[in-house]
Amino acid sequence: MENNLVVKAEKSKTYLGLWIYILTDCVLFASLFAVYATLHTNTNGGESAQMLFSMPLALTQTLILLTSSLTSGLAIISALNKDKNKILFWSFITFLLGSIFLFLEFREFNHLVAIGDSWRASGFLSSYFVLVGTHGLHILIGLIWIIIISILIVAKGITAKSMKGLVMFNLFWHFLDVIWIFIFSVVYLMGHMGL
Amino acid sequence: MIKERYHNYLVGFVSCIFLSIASYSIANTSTGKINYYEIFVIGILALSQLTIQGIYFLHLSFDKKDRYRLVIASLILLIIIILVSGSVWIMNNLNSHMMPTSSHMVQYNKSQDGL
Repeated sequence: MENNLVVKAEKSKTYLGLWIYILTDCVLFASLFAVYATLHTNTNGGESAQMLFSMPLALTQTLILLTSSLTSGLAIISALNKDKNKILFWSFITFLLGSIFLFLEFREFNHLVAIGDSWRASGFLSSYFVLVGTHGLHILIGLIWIIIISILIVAKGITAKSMKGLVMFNLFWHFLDVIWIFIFSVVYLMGHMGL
Repeated sequence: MIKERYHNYLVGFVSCIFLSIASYSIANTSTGKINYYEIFVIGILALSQLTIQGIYFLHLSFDKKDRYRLVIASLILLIIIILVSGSVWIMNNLNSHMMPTSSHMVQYNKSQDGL
């Protein structure tokens, strides 16, 4: 087990490096949350978060992202078992759920822009679009990342390189899920409650 | 070890779903008026989800081999708390000091009339 490529990747310096990257990314998101917390009452006479956001949609997105977090973990467990087909299967499911999440977010943005509540409408909407949009951009990068890793696994099989990529992607994906929990709680739930 | 990880993922997943739905139903049944007690509970639920995901998904532990990650995670948390609470504090303070409402301005103009 000590010689397993996944365990080796988790003990590598790259893993530490990714943790440090996540620290800096957390600071980015913390700043955006601070901006949102300061600006979310400045609606410029438009609608506030309470009237604007669809709660069932936010819950659906949360559950989809949580499930994709689980499936990316199952891909790691398949990698520990050295089961190539299962790694590809769970990676594909992760990709699929991530795409659905991104699609729902894009649809919501489209809807907001269509009803005249784009990022230009108020300080509240500017900060909302930047905060949620930055998270969406990270998800998009994650989706491209998992495609590249899947291609690498199909082409070269279970190698040290591909397993390292899979472990790093898994960490990144869990991190995005953690960020989303706070977007869900602060923007959608607390917004719905009138804060 | 594989079985343990599998078990960890399932426990983490189920409890996170439970916590998400719990905070959702609290928010959904709220009256729409600001109730700081409910907001506090939602904050606590979000933080417990963070803890659960940290332990079960990100494998944070007090294990000597993995402790460096726990140290980095705590540092992240400290920076975020300082950054967010500090910004909110300062900006709210600025708002209350620097943004006079129209009634403030009427009062101010009246007080200047004597000059």
